[in-house]
Amino acid sequence: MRVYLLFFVGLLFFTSCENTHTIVKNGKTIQIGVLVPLSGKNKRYSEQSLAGLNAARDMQTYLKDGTEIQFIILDTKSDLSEARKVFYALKKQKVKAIISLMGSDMMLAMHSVFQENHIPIIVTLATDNEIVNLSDTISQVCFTNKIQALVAAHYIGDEKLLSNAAIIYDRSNHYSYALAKEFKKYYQSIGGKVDLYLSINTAKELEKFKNQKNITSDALYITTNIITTLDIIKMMKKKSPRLKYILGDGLLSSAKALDKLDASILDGVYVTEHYASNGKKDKKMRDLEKLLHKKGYDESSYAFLAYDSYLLLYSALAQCENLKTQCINNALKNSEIIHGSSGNFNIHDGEAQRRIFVDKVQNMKLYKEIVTY
Amino acid sequence: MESTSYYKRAYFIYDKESHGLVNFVIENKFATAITAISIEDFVKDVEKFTADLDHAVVSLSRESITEFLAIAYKYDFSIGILPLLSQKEQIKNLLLSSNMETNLEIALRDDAKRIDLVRLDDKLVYSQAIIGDIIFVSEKMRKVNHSPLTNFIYALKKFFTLKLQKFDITTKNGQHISTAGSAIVVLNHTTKGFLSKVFNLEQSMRDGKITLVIISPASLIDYVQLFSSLLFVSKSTKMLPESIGYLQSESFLIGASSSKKVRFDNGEKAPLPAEFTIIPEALAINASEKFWELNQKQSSQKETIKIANLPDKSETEKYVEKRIPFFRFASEERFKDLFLVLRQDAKLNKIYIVLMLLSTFLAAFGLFADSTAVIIGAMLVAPLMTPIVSLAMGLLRAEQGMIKDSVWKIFVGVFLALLASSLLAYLLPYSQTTLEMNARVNPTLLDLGIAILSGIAAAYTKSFKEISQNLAGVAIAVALVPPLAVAGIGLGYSDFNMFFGAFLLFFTNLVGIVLAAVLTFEVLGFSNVVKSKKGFAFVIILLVIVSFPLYFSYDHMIERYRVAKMLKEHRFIVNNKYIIVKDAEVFFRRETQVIDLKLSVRESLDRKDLEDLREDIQRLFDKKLFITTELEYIL
Repeated sequence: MRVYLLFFVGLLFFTSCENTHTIVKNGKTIQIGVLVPLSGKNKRYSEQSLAGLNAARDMQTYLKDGTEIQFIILDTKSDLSEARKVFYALKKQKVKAIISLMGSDMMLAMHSVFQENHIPIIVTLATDNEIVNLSDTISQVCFTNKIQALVAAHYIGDEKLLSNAAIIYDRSNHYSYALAKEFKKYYQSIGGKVDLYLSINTAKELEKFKNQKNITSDALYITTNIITTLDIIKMMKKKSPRLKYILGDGLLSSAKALDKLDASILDGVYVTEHYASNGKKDKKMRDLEKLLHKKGYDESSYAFLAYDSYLLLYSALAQCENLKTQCINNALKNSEIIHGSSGNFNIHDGEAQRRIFVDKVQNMKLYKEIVTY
Repeated sequence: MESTSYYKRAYFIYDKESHGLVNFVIENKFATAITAISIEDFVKDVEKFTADLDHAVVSLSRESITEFLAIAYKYDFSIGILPLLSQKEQIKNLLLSSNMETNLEIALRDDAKRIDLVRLDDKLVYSQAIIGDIIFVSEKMRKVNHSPLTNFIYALKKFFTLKLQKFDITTKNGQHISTAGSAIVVLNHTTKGFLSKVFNLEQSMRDGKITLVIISPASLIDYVQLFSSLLFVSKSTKMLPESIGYLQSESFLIGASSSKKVRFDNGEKAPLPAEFTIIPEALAINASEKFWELNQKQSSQKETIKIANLPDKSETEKYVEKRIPFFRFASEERFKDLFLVLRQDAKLNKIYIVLMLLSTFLAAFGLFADSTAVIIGAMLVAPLMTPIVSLAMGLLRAEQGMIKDSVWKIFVGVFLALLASSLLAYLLPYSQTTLEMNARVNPTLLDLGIAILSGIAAAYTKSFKEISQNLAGVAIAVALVPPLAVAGIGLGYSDFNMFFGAFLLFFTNLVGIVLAAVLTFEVLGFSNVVKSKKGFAFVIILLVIVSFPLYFSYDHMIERYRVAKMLKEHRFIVNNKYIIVKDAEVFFRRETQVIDLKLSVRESLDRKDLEDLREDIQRLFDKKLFITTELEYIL
């Protein structure tokens, strides 16, 4: 009887353990460059992204053969010439790949540098449609503006049946401008009427907008920076209570980074995102959230995408035992299916094939409305 | 208004405790000359003191008072009882007040009335005598007031160890009663004690009768009920609990199987068997007006016997063998009428056959016509429920005859239903499967749940004549014939999936009802043995067998619901075309998961788009899918 009991307990013990492999460190290292605007206007999201990246590395530091993955993190200071400088510094250090946490404008501005130097680059946050076409060494982890604008336009027009929309964007911000332009194109293509297409960049423009008449549209698509966006929504909620709001990806995460925030302003607002707070979370995801919380970060679009970037990198490195650039690049551009922060994704010809959620914001959390493949 | 007169002279008999009352009594306001004597002195020279004694005021402990009553009875003088305020039991029994002045006034009144006394040989019972074990209070605990927690612990201990004993009782009129119980309480009169908390006993000290209360928790459920009625005393009318019976007669001869002695409330004991007799109008006492209102003079030779719920002679033999069971059991005699009905229900007869055929044809036509109303009509006509309930009782009481008859009757009913419906399906010139048919080919654990609840309702309804009209509702809930008809139609169509699915639903209902009915009858105390293991085992085995396919079917149902819900939240972008999933239905065709989608799009989808869409959907699942779509265009 005791023997059976022991056997049973032993069986339970072994089955409860995860199927883990012990990695024997071999003393070798592989250098990966990280381009990140740690200062300047894009600083806000960079800290969250780095936290996600470091958390991912903490979870999987070594390749199967025991080689350690090391980051060389350099600050681009949100400046083009500085970005060029640090890129070449990374090249000098013979990094095997670069994870870029820069925005679309900087990525587009540096296209010639990328094209000339043939270092595989994982673009974490930038969503411009053209980035992948800049160089045959670029792989984009986030969905593109085109796709998220298409989903937003159809969601508003075909599902919420809102036939008039206003669009407010910031001409000086490439992401904002490009996204607004795509949305306008798709919304009009399905018969939606754009009542207002307005760029707000300066305080003066914002003040002028505040003083004008109410927006008579059914929906407001807004892609300006988070501070302006919050200001506008706060004002419009009073002026036009029935207006529906839809925001682009990352805006909620940016809001979370603000020092002072009236969270209720964003309640009821729709966003296009690559995750939802109420989705199923596996153990890996729960571990990631724990690590982020330890470092003082809540769930964040930027952190999750950075995490996914590392998983993509790890998968490519794991496929290329020789660690040759060409092999890594090929594995990045056409990846295997990766179980990422918000479900499976893969890279096809450098473009991310991943889900887009339309979420509703409530208490600074994202609740899934629909999910698009 | 009549003026009150008081005794001119009286004795005051006191003990150590009541010695302090002497002056209070002597200095009474009622002009009664008092001679105070201690009980010890009085007993030493009874003859002397009683020679000129007409009335005595006594203030004594419960133990001494019984002794004094015997003296008062023997020397025929009246007594007025003056309890100390601490002697609450005496105050309550005589319905006196908490004012000593008032009580003294009552004790000295010259209006004593005669009450009956209960005698056992030369001993008198002052308030009660006990044979056996009053389960909630031990003998020791009765002498001291223990905390409710101590009583509760004692009661809990008894819960696990209680055994009943056999009592043989013969009344004055020669009625012989054999029953089982934990205790008998012989009452002269009491308004205090746990019995008065449980029920209102109609009893008088001037009716010429002894009251005998039998405490008999025949099951653990009864025990808990009795205990809870003690804990949560209601001030409203108290009904006689099922586990208590009582008798009233001029005399009782009592014998017990395990108790050897009867205990008196003064601590004395007497051997068993014992004969208690009433001495009518034995003693003159003074008491409050309220007391006399409750104890009015009655003269009737009629004996009272209220023991219908107590174990009868044949049940008693089984009860005394073991500890009390979880549920009651019953002898044949107890529910003679019900058993007779159930035995008749188990027998095959012409009416059953005709009704079975009629209900099957009705159900089959209703199924073909896809008419819910007609199918419900068929359910009401269907006679299958009766032999199933009989089968449950047969299994519970291990009655071979009832089991055989009911199984045969069910078998014939099933056979007829299958034959009739398959023949109908075969003869009809078309073979269509309606929604009503489809609804009966995928039984799940939910159906088992419905069957179990219906079984409980059926057994419960059958057990009580006054609610037997509710059987119609039960028949509708469980719907036995329609699944049989669908199974028959499946046979007629040679569609064996249909046959097996629908027959599984019928079999689920059958097993569920039988199991639930067996359990319900057991709970209601219809079992004839302490544990009816065989019947239960048989039904449980059937239940396990039927649960496997139901579980998988239920699992499929949950999976279908989950997938459909998930897909309804999904959108697809195929070649820049946005596709909305408006509705999704998931079902299994043999082992293949089929997804039927209703899609909404703006642009037309060509074969390549559909192929890409299929790949995108397939990517969401591990199993290979068969996908069909219906497109609607947004204009």
